[in-house]
Amino acid sequence: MSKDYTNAPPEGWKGFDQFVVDMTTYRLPATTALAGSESTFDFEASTGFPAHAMSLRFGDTKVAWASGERQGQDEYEAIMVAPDVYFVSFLVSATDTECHAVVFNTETRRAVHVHNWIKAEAKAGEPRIGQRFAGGVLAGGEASGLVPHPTKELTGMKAIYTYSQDHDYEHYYITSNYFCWKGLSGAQKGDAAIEPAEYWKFADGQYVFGWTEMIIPCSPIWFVCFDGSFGDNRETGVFCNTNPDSTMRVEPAGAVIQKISQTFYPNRFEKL
Amino acid sequence: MPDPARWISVGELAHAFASDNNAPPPTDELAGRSLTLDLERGEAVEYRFATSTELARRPLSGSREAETPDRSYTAAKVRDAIYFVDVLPSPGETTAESLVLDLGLGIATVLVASLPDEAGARRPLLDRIARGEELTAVTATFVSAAVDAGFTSSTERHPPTTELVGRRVEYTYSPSEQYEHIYLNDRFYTWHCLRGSEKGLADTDRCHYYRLADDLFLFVWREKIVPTLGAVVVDFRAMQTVGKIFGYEGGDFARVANFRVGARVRLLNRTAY
Repeated sequence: MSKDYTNAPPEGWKGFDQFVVDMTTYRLPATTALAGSESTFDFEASTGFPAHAMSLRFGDTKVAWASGERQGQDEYEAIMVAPDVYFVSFLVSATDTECHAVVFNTETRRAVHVHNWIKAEAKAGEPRIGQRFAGGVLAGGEASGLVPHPTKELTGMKAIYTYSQDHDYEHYYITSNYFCWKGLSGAQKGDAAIEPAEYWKFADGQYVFGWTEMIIPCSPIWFVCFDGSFGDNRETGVFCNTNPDSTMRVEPAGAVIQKISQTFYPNRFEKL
Repeated sequence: MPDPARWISVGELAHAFASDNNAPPPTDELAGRSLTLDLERGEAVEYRFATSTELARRPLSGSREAETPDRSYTAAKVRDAIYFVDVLPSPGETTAESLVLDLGLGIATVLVASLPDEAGARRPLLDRIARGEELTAVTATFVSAAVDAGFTSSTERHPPTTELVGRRVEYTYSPSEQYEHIYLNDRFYTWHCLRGSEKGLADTDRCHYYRLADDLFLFVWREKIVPTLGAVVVDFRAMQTVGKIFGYEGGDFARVANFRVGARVRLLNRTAY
């Protein structure tokens, strides 16, 4: 590897504005393929997330959404992140404090819903943004294949995520509850932290992954694809951050992934 | 998300590490010896090791008092002529001193660790960042010294090293307590409890690495959630560590805990950049 990862920057923690630049060079492009279509989902109850339905009626730039008694019409982004798999995200403009992402496969009809919201109160020692996952199906047909579920499969993996030519991070999947990042280059070069995380398996080689940062009020949502779709292993998603006025800001990001190593533990240890 | 209530105090950790641990037995080889450490900052301190557990520590520039042993210590022999000495904090003290002595080379590194008071420990991370401070409130200073000689510009030092960066290492402290460390870069490492009282907990914390000899390192970490300092000598030939963990006994910040640790070492993998 020819990049110089050795010179550490001066001390001082970097904020969202400093690192969120240059994170789209390797991001997959958005698509308007969903415009004019409508999708309805049934999501099962999950930790902290009651069972719910959600309908999405896609226009060219806005999605009319409804879930339970709530509804709205908001700017959305759709990206095809693997064959037949879409990553759709939108910020709820009525409150500006929450973001929804829905990952779904139009063939298998499997879906995962991730909801990020700014908590009403900031509490010391807790991430500022809440995040919850639910698995479900695209209604109106027979779902097939793997049922999305929380997974320990990535535990032990280490990989390099490259967001642009000079913006690389290492990811270490420590347990099914924690993940560690380290800036190899870019604004956060030399910084590192561990964050509460959630990992869901979506299909073989495909994961929905998110974390909530302990230090800055930031929480991304990702589709991570290790199956080589579109020529590379890729991460595609959004970073949600809390503005000083407690509104949410959503920024696009994406990376190509190079796997580095996998740590295996002796059988006497239960994988965490 | 993980339950923050599972974080435990250093006192509880000491209790969990107590039985059947892999710390090598202390050595009595220093008993009866007297060593003068001439510190790089221009101060000299005499350590008179009266017994295998008691010493008198006397700054040579200061008063001539305190010649009777007034400190407890533990010493571990790491390799021939290389010792890790932990001077135990006296009641009420929140600083503690550890020495790495290389009597063959005639050099030492003095580590002074200091714990924050309760207010300092409870300050939110974002406050610390806003003030440009480190995330952890635990401090460590490293001072080089010459042993029984004057410290000069040509005195060797234990140098900071990045040799461990890229290694992932499993440490078995006892049959019940097992951790892995991932050495991320020259400032941070990740610890993860595989088995034992902190099972499932993990964090990324500030750390320091010094090279003592071939395949022999002083590794020091400073934690930010529960104020803790760890200092261990890691021997990648004997695949063994010895050192100490220092913090508050409990959540009331009333007493400190400072206990010996030692682990068997297994290299899990290594990334070359």
